[in-house]
Amino acid sequence: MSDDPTAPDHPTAAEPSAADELEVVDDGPISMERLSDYLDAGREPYDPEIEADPSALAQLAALTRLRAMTASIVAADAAAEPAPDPSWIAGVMSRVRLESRAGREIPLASSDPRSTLHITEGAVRALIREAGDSVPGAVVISCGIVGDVAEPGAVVRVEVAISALFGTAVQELADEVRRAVLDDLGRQTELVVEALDVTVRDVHQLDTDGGPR
Amino acid sequence: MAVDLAGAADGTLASRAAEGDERAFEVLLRRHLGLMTAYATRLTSSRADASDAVQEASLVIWRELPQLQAPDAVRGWMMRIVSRKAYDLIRSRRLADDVDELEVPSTSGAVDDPERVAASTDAMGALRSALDRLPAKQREVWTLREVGGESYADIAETTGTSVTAVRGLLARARETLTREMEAWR
Repeated sequence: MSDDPTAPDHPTAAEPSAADELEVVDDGPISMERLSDYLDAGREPYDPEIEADPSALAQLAALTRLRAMTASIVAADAAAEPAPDPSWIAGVMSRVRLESRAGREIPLASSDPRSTLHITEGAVRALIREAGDSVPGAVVISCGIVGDVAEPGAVVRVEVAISALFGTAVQELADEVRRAVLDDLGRQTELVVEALDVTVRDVHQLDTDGGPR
Repeated sequence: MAVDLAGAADGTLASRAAEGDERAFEVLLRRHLGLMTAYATRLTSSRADASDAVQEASLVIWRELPQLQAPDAVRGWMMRIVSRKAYDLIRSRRLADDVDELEVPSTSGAVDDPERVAASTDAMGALRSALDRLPAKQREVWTLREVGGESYADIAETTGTSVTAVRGLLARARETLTREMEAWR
């Protein structure tokens, strides 16, 4: 491979016909590995030697086309996949449930001093999600309980991130989510919530991005 | 009231699943199952192996979701886990066969599907056949790169080889495929 900067450009005098231009040259001066690397780097930084070589350009065009065709083949295969076998899904989900994310244990007051009651952090998160989701136009993205929940009566902060349906009044939606979550937490846990932060992190359309993409 | 998650963005589903929402995980899995299966089938050349690989990958995805830094990029991340699991299977099959058939083109799986054989009258069909005729290692590296969009370094790690070897295999696959597809341009 010539790195001589004084080397003349490849002859351009013989204008290649359109057909010649598309012809793939196997033993061109620029190796396939070098072309592959260049293509994979997004043709950056600009390589004048490659960009001025008709056979290299034809090879690049062919590779780009191959890439697009391969993507189409796999997309077609994916679309042609039969609906998943219900027993296959059930099998995966039952194994998933064996590895549920319980998180920390949050104590609950017990009338019997000899026994202790707990609710898992995972269950509280599920409660928060359900409360937030119940507000029309809101979908909970993420939630967390900040503070020493293992300590009975400890003061905690709850953080909820939501996605708002496009067109809803964001401030009101956040307030409604805050109320719904506080209500449910008050009813079903003994957490002492000093603050509940609702962040609108995303906006979604009604079911526009559903289905495989 | 259960909110309809079918329209939720990938990132929302990934975040919820990372925090333990099994329903969100199922929606995410169903959404990408076709692609995951098609990818694994391309890699393993076997529908049975693909199903096993995707099943194993699904559990790893569930387990590792809490460590995912960019929930919006969950799809590519899921595909990388699928390829890792598919490759674990490929490797164990080769060890079981106890012969070095790495350069022997595969004749199993997608090749004998009559619909696909019939389809080779078009360019897509021609590429399918050309891919099926590639030596297995070249086809795998090609698929990891062009379908999975994986980096050379990731491919080297997944396939247990060096970046130099990956680059060489990829170049040979590209040479063969561009040559075979010349008639279809």
